[in-house]
Amino acid sequence: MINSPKAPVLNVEALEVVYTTRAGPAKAVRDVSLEIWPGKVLGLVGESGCGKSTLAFAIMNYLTDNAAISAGRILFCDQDIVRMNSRELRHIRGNEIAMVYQDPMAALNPSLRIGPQLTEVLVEHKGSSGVEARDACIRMLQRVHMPDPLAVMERYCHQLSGGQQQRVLIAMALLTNPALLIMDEPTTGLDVTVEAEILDLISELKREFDTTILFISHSLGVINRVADQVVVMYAGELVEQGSAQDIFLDPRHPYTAALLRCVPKISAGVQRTTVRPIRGKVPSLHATPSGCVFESRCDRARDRCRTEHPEIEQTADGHWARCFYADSPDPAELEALRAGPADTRVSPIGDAPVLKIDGLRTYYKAKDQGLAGIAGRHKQGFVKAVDNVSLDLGRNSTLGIVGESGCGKTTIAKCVAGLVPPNAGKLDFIGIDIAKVVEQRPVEMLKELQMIFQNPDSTLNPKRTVGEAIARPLQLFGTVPQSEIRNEVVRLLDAVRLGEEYYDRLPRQLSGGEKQRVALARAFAGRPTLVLCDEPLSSLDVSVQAAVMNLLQEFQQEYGTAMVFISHDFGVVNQLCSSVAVMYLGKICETGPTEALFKPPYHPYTGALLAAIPIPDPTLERNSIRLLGTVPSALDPPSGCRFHTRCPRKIGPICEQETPPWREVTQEHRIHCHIPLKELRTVDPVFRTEQ
Amino acid sequence: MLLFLLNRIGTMLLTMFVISMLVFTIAEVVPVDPARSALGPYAAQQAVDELRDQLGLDRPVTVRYADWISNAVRGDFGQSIHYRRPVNELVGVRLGRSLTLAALAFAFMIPLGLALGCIAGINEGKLPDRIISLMSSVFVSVPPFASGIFLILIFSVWLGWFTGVSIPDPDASFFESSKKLILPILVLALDEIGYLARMTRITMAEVMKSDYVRTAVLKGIPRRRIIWRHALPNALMAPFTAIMLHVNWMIGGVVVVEVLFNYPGLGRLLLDAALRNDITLLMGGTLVLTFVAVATQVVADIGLYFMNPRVRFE
Repeated sequence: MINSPKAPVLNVEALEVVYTTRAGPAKAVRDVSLEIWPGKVLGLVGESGCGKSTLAFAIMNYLTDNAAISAGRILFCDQDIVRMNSRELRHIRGNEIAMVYQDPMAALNPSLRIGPQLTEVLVEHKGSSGVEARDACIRMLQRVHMPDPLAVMERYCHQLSGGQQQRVLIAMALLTNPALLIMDEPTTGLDVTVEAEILDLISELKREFDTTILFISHSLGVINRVADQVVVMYAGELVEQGSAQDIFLDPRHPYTAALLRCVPKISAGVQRTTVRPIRGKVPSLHATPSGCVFESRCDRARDRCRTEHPEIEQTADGHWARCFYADSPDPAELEALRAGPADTRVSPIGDAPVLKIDGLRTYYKAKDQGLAGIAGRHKQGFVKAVDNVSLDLGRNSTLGIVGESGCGKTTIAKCVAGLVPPNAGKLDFIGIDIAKVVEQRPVEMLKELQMIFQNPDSTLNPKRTVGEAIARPLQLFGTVPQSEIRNEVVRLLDAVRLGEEYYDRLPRQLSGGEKQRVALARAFAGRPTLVLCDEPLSSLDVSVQAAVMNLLQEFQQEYGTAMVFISHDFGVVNQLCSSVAVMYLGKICETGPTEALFKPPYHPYTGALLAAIPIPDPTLERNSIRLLGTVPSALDPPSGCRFHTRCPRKIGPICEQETPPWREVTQEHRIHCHIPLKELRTVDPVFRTEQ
Repeated sequence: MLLFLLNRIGTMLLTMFVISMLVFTIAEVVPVDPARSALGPYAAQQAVDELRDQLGLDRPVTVRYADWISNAVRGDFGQSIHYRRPVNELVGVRLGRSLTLAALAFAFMIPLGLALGCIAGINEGKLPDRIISLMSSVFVSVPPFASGIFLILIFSVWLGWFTGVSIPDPDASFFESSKKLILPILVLALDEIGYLARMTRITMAEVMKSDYVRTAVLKGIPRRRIIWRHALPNALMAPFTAIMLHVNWMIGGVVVVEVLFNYPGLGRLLLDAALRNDITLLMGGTLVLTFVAVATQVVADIGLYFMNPRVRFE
């Protein structure tokens, strides 16, 4: 591999981890060898269940009771971690190798203040006195750009925002200046803007501390942003390894190539490429095929792949792939990878309005328990979840709503669905006033409006079979005659690529992606006029995401359904939506056709969101725009323009005092900002490379 | 903080008010004439009527309730019909004894239950856990009246270590009188220990598997510190709440144990009052007992407030 005078910090040799399960042993990690070199960031990417986290915890020699390292060595500074006793391990953990975790809220102790949780690391490993440790911790919090570190030391973790919690964990990991830092999905679950800040921080720390990092993520875009070297894992095996450039621009393993094709592209060219899902599913770890693990899903597969297990081999200098045909990638594959021809499957903005939202306001009462609340003696606070929002949606088109968590996206969907009564404003759906809760709406109308939710696990009744779940709306709404119901359900199952054999299965027998397909079939079964999708893709793996995305488009084409698509992922929105509304703190700050949103003029907030999206393309150059601080409380939103507290382009006191005007770029494209259009137009575009 | 306290105390007063109405209503509905039961079945109707008049039983319900409750607030629950002595005097003495019994049982069971639960939870699935889990299952499933009889059989009939009757002797030394209480305490505490140990075991095992304990382990913190500093405060929160909720439950146990060991506590008093149709005593005693239950709840809430930073900063 790379010729370096120094030795690798960590050397994993032919590691194998086995889980003992009721169904027999499952090899979660098989024959994994990798080296991490000093000062480098090694990105480990793969979908859920591929063994990434198992590998990370194996390096810490911290596995669950039913897991064991059955073969291989993990050499850290020439010592084998696998054979260390508990005292040696304790010396290494947190001192030589530190870790940052996926869910920072859960990773911090809820009943201890941040201070002692930080200082104990130094007291334990460096023998520092309390005062020394405290000072060092405060300095470290400053280095990770934690606002007001002194106060943070006294807080509990639930008093910090998600981004701040992750900063605390990063500071904690860096306290002892460890030789290796393992980061396991450190930005998953954070908002895209917060994610961008954390990734910036990691890049900065890498430069300053010269830290060696093993960075694990399912997101190719995130890996692209931080990693020097990338390894790709699939079904417990390492399938490809190389520099970030190699992996993202010239992937040799068909899995890597397929994974990259699943990610919707965003760039200034605004070309939409078809996302191509990977067919089939990951083989079970209990019965791994004797041939190549990816064979059943591979377009390149030939007879040899079925019988012989490929070894990982060097294809170019520093670029390794576990494929017999790594040197001869299918030209068609490469073609598709390089932003292929624009696909215009996104429906145009329709004329006939299906949904008209006018001046919608939804306030939630701030919680107030106890006697004072009952007696009504308290001053009642209101969370202005949605504040004066107006939107239009035409037939056969898709409106995307994007924004950070807590901006009111979901509340809009809930109002439209009738789950939350609006406080003011008009909601007009195919000419019917629907500004009331679902119980008061006419039954015929319910059929026309369906919803798909984020978490498919909790939206399917666990006691009902797939067939029953899909048949239910057909029976209720009489979409097809009684005798035809089963045929219709089978037709829908075929349409979502599940097939009749799923008819009698129960939700617990399905994977997340399959459940979401069932939810999709159920939502479209009654042939509704409008489907509300609330982050339907965000809990799914990239390859599954691509499949569901394509299905949504197919259904829309077939039935001419209008969709409201709520998402935090600009890539997905770009792929699916004809128009987009960007929301911030209950208000819309920009709305317009999707293409228009990716080029100036845009609202400063839109610009920041675009700059924050992680994109798996090393050649893409972008302006880095970062927001200041955190989202203010919706209980007491800032005066004037709500975005002024974080706006990188605030022009003066006017932003704090006056509600900004709507500036019309075109009839459809409007921006809610004090900055004149002329100036908004001249701003540097986020995406610099025009294609 | 002050707001929280006021809130809790306010809620408590409200609860007490509702309960007092309930108690009064039940006493009202029960087909017992206090005057008749005081004078006995052979007394002349005229005497009964006179007593009714004297007791003010002819006045409207609301007036009598207001009268009763305003006196009760001042600690005056009227005269016991059977004992012909003020209720508060009777209840006071007996409550003291019952509380002593309950407090001693608590002092015995809390450390034992929590400790057993923690040991089991930390070693989930291993031998200590299995032994403790089996023991606590047995403790929980045997009701106090059965375990009481077993214990009396073993310790007082066969071994002769303790007496089976626990009537306190005012002249006895402290050691002597506490020895008499050992068996009742044991009976009271046993199934609570089982309950507590099981509960603690679950929360402790859960906490030991939590992400923050994992963080602590991977920080290289020694196991002893992880258990005491990181795991325990989180694991004990739920059991602590549960114990406090169980105070009410234990009051039921106290009645059984008092009867079993012939211990003159509030439970026995109330039982006797019920059997003797002594309505005033029953009402007063019940009110005092519910007050104790509700008040411990408030104490528990305040304790939790200090234990759990989440509640504190809400």
